[in-house]
Amino acid sequence: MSGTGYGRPVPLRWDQPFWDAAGESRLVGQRCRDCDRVQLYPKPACARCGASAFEWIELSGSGTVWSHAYVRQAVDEAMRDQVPFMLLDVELDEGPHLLSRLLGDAHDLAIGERVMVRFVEIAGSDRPLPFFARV
Amino acid sequence: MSRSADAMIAGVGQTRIERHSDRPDEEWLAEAIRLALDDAGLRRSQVDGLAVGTISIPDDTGHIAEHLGFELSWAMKADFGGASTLIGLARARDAIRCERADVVVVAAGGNRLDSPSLAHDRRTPPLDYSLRNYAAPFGYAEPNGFFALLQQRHMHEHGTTLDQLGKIATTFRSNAMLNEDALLQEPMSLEDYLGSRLIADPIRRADCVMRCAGGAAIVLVSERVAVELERKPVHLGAYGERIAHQTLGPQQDRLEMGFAAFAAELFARTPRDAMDFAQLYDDYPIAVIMMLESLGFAERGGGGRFIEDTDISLGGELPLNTGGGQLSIGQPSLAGGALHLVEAVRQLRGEAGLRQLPDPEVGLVTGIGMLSVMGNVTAAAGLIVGKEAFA
Repeated sequence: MSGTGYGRPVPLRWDQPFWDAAGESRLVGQRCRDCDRVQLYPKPACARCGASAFEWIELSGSGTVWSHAYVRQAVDEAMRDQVPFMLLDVELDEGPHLLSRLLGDAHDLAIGERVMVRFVEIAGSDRPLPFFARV
Repeated sequence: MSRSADAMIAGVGQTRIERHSDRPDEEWLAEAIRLALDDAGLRRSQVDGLAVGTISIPDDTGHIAEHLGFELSWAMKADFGGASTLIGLARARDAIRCERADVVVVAAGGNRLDSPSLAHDRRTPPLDYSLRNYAAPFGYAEPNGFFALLQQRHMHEHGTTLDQLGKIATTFRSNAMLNEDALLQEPMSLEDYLGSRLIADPIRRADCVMRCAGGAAIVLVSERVAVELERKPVHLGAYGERIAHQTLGPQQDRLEMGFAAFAAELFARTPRDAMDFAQLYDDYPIAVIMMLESLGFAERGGGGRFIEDTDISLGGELPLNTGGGQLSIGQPSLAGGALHLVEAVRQLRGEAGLRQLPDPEVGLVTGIGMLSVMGNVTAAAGLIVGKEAFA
């Protein structure tokens, strides 16, 4: 059952622009045209005002490690040949957080370290994913 | 509309818990329901309400009712992950209070998500859009990584120690050794805990619930049904829940579990220090620590110190997870969240055998469900239960 499909994003209409930008190695956030709230992950409506008209703004891609987890054993078969890897919660400089993974094996990573987005395609991902690298 | 008296728990049922099984989810539900109705002394034909906690059975609620052999005036599927049983029970209570039903069975159960024999029920985590697109592709397809991340941050920010986390795991194991239903019965010392293999640093093997199979059910009845029964019912007190508690922001707070939003109300009439026990949803020890903070037993960040300073054993000031919790009983799919309620009822009825507390009067049961990409969990629920009716 390696075909779980969980290693692969399946864009929906409202988050297609996020993945289109990722395909061009650009990290974007969803900004509400009515109230200017910037939200990530992308949602079908603005969590503040409920409107569904968005523009997509370029984010710097730089952020700080809020926390991390060094995965040695994966239950999901699709991930088994990828361990070990370092999962991240990155606080972007613009505010929102992204869950991601560290590029490269770095067991000594610390909370508070600065990281920068790097788009990479991995086996089964079908498209570039926003990973992060130490700076 | 006239409002009848509060609903009461007339019976509970819990199947044996099995590490490996080829029984699909609905067979576990059917057995748990039989056991619970027998326990309550009620006939199947008297059931007019059904709440099924499931995130794995694809069938619609009406079909599930038909499969299980019921004609109903009220039914629902509760799909709130580990909080499904408590939230289903709360909805059932509302239904009985509004006279939509008199006898509601709240059932949960199932098999390991990775069981190869389940062709119909979903075998893999039923991930939603946000988990599928913004968590799973990076390697978060299972909760170990999530809770490792939360534990790492909690240790960093609040100085929470492995000894404190280990006290939770080892205390629950001691309780499980007095519970014949528990799958994990081998003694576990703090050294055993600390030496347990790392799965996702800092989460160890001994931090992770074990997937297994089983079912559990609770029968909730109206007062007019309860008075006809031989057994004394268990009573429901204050209840609170919070769904998607981090949606509005502006900043996410991943270490806040959501109970804080209703804790003051939950404990307004039966204060925290009146609890003779607490059965806390325990998929990881760090979840118990964050929950104690969110519930207000400990201050923010002080959950680890609270555990260190409090006797949480069976003879202690706040006995936690007296049956061993999911950490030592196992997590039989969504029935994992029902184990806490069943244990609370057994304690209040004096049926907990070797692990029986001395005449407990009231206790707390909690549930949490479904991890959130941007926050902590998407569902948090808490219920106070008692031996006598609440004023």
